Amino acid sequence: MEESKSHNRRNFLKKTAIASLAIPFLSSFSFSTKKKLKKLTILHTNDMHSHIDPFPLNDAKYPGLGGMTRVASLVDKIRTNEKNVLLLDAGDIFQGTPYFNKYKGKLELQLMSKMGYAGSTMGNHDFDNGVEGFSAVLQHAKFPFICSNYDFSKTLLKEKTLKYKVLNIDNIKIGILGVGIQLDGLVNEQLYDGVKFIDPIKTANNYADILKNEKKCNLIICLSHLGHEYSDDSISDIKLAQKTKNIDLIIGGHTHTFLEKAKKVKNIENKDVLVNQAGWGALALGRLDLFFDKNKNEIIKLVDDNFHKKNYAKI
Amino acid sequence: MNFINIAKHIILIVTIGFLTQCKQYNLSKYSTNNINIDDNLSTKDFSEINLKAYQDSINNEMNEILNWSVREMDVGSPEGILGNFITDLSLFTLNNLNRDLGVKADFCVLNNGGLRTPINKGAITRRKIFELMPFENELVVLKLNASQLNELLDFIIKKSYQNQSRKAGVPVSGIRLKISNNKITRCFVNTKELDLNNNYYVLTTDYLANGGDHMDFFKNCKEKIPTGILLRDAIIHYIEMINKNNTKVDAALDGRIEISQ
Ligand SMILES: [Zn+2]
Repeated sequence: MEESKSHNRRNFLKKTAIASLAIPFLSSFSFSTKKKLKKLTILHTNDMHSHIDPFPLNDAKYPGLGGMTRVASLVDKIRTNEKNVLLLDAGDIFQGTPYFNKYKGKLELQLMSKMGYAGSTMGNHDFDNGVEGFSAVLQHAKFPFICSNYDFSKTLLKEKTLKYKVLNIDNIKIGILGVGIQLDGLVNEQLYDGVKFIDPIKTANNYADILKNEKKCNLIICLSHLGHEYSDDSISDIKLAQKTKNIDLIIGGHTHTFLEKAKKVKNIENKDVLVNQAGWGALALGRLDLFFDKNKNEIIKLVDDNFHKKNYAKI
Repeated sequence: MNFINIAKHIILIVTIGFLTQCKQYNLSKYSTNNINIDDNLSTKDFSEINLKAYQDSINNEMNEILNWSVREMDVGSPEGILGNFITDLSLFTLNNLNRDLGVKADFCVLNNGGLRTPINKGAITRRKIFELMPFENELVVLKLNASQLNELLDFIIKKSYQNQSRKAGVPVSGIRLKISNNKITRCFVNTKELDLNNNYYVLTTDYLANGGDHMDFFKNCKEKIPTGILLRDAIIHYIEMINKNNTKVDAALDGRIEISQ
């Protein structure tokens, strides 16, 4: 009863907010100061591919750019300015520099732990040393891997990853799920022996429903290594957003897509989903600042304030 | 109690007032702007895990110059200089440098998607070869029957017509193909015309042998002979070897796959 009421009210508020969107950016700044909205800063990476250091200075495309050590100093800087920071990754942490060949991913996971990552999902290249190689270095990760659509129950990774995670940051309840790509044809079969792939859309809907209705989360984030968008009808972040409900934000990877900012996509219930991706090689850090109403602790309407564009990823 | 009722009324009034307010204003908002990681940002040293020691060790090993390239080499479709270079040296490595293995291959097939970066003109460092071939892929030899061979040839035809991405085309060595109207008009293995009644041995990587990059036909090969040689090690060894003979790295297009109208 209580729940359905609040649910209806929420829908209503969303609708009114959509209506008010027609009035461009109606005094949102002055209003936010009056209302004391709660702010959550989400930072994210994907496909860092073992780029601990900046790219070599003689690199043809990205000379001297990127690097986890630089992302780390930027995250530190943002943490000193923002109270609520949530740092996430969307997979393919491994493979791409000799650090991985030499140290098997241990160093990447140690760095990410020190940077304070709250979670990641697995990309196809995180299987490059097999399920065995991944579980051998997993102890160095002080953050969980959230893999909702890989069934690891018949492998070494049994009970070592999470189906979903609920976090409470400043009384904002955040639910996180994670979907990975079909490994067939992408990864050497022996490397993912025993791993069962489950349909990402069904899985995402299933766990998003649990997170929304059972766990009462105010915000639901889906980490995804499906890829941003394809010209054929392969499942992608855009398709996932369109065919699911209850998900507010998809943090993607795999296609190494540089976006200036998150895209807004309508879900199956015609509600907004934000879809973002931050290139690759630690060349970009995805950033979203979400403002929650203090009384309800949920996003009522997302209004793109569209300011300071200067960091547009041109790469 | 009365007090509770009053309290409920107050809450109701506040709520109504609040909802009315909502009709006029956007209650919440977001901003989104992704940030480039450029060289204005400082690097964090991670001294607590002694990252510097790892960096020094990696840099010492990886900055070593193995040889020099005469030209820039990259993948291509239907044929690319980089693909020609890598498949040629792979076949040479198996057939000429590792005779003690007792395994020979008739031709070599790799994938352009696996050759991750071009080789620039000039110095080739060990790092460059790790960038080019980061994966621990092992060279393996597969025995192909007629149907697998046909599927492979169809795959090569299909990929040879593509030219949109770095993954287009199939790098081959030891085999020459002439393609016209989506059909093979001539095909030589070394100097002999292809004979579908023959069994051929193809050199590839374990990744492709297991059906990677959608080369599903390789999965069904009954005979699979591992060589124990990593493709990356083969590349490094070959370019170091020719450097010792004062030979620079070079390769060319030679029409091994040709499409005509
Ligand atoms: Zn990937």
